[in-house]
Amino acid sequence: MHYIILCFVLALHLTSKLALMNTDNIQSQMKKGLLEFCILSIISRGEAYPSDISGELRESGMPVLEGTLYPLLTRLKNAGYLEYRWVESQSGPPRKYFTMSESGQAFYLSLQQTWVEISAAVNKITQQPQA
Amino acid sequence: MDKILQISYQGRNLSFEESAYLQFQEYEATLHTYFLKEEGGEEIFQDLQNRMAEILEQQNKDQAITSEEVQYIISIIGQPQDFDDASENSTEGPNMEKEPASKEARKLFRDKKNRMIAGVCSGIAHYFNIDPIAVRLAFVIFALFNLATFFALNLSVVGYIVLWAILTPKQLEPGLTSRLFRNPNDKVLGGVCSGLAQFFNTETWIVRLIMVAPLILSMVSSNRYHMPFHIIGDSLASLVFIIYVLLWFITPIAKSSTDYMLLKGEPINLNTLQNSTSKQNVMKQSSLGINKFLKMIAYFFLVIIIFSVVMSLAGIGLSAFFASDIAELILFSATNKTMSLIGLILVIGLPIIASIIWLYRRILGYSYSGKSIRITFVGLWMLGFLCIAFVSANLIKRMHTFSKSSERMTLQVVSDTLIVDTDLLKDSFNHHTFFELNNLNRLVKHTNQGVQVQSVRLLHEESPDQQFHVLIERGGFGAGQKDAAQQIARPIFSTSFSQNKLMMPPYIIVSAKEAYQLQHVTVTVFVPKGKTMIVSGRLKEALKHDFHFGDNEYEWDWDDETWSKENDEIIRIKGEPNTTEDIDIQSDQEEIQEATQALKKTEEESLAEIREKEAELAKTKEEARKKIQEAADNLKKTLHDTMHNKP
Repeated sequence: MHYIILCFVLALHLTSKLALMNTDNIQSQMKKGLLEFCILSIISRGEAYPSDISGELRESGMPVLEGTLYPLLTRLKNAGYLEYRWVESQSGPPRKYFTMSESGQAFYLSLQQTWVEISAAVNKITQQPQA
Repeated sequence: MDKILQISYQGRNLSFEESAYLQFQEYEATLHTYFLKEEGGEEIFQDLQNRMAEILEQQNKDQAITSEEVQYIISIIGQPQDFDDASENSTEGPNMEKEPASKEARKLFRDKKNRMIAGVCSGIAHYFNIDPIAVRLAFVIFALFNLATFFALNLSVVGYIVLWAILTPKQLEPGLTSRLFRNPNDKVLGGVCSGLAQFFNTETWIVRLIMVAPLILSMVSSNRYHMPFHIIGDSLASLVFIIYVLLWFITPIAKSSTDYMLLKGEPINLNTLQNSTSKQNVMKQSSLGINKFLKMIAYFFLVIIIFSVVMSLAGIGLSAFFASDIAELILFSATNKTMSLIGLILVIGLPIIASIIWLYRRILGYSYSGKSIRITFVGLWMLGFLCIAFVSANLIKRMHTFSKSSERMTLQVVSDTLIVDTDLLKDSFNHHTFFELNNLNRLVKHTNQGVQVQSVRLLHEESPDQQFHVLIERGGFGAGQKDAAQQIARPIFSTSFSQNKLMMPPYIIVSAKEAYQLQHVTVTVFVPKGKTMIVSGRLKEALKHDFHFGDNEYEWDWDDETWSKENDEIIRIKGEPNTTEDIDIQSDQEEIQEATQALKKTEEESLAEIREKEAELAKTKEEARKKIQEAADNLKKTLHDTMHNKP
């Protein structure tokens, strides 16, 4: 009987804990949505090497881990938006340089369109004078 | 100073400090396991390896690489938990981009990232925003219950497979709720208890005590005859054991520091991460190699277990069906036979092939498998079910009505003993038993006259009077009463009786040109009280593998038999009630006897009355005759007198 009560109490404890833990990280969500757009934008200017991309992002104040960048590039490549080329380097194996494909260009333009609309809307909303 | 290691990594020669190299290797392993779960993960990992080699080379040209450099790499590439967030929407293209995040969460997907088999449970958990462990536990328990009741229609397994086929796979980011992991740092068996303790924020020993308590309880109480206590202890112990093993299999082992954070329900941020990484790195280094080895062994055993289970299931299913001639007789038509063959191969064979493929891929580390292949598999499996359903429907159509006919005979037994015997031996039946299931084959034998089917059984009952009786009942199935009645008349079964010997065959003979409609014969011998019935040993032996339809009492019910070895006979002596049923019958018998006696009495009484009356009647008749005689004599006398006087 004590055992059952103990289990019951533990179960209650668990449910209350689970209820408390539901927090969402809005900032990371925002950043996440825009990252691809930024990467595509950098590559649209010309052939790019991943570490150069991460460097540019860092300098512009949007630091990103290479562990995030590489999977993203591979996925974009698999989706047909990017193409890559092996370039010989002075030491060690060749490096992968990424360029934009035609469909990637179109995708980038549509993202840009969306961004212009959203940023205009957000600016308009957030910069309204307080009533 | 540490030992310096010369390592060739990605075509570059690098020198590491030993501790730094261990750290680097571990980090690489975490990355590898993380990316392996994804599509194209191998390529991403390859790229990252290249990149890391590049960074290391740039960092340090002359000196050995220290743990600081490794930390630097980690800071550039990042820990897996840190790039979880950023890699979401990319695969889905422009459509997904426009959908709001909340709507995306409300759709049910298969979770490709966090999965055990196909990510169905994890997807459901993500949909309801709960811990996948809970869903998996519920699923497995439900599946086990189903397994216990009926294997073929295991709803949860079928449901899982259907969901597997229907749902679209998607990389789902884990919700930020606290989740259960096994804790490898503090474990006795699988680290389940300490994981639970961390999860509930309590001491490990409390959870362990709770887990072990019912076990101790049942051990202590098993010596006493305190029933409810004992049963509760035992059932709880087994329940806890099952839950532990389930959790062991279901719960992932905590690998990264995020896992530990999630386990404890702590918020994940940079400070807490750094704290825990340094702590846990030291602890885990030594166990890495052993873990791999254990995993290999575990997979090896898993393969063996699954293989043997699957093989035995297949063996039972297939041989029970096809090794037996009885199935051939019942199915009869070529369509039925081929359909059931196809059905069984698909239903039993397909999962075998699928699981072997799955294991093979699992062991080699592939995780991708095409959706179309899966759909074909499920479709074929369903087709197998349809085939079997078709055959069953055919069979039901042919024999949905049960019919019975009986024939009663009274045997004029010369002595007090009836001998039941057979002159048709069963020795000729197939005896090459491959394994027990082939007993089914012994039921049927093809001969020139027809097919011998062993569906005869012999029962005994107490006779209501002083005579031996035999009741021969024939039963069988057909399409409708009329057909069934015709069907049961078909098989040849004849008994003969002479003096005190009843001869009966141990089988019925059916025609090989017609389907077997499960015809069977029951012979019941009614033995009067105080008399004996003897069943010969060879008849009993011949009847041993009888099988029955539509009746429950099919066991050999001769529990009061006595067995004498000398003449190889079973002797049954009547009139000694040894079961309660017998007593009931006996009391009934007595009542009947009393009633008949009473009846006899009244009959006798009335007879006596009649006799008395008859006697009276006879008396009065005699008297009347005497009187008439007298009167006649008187008349004669007077006549004579007058005749003499006149002349």
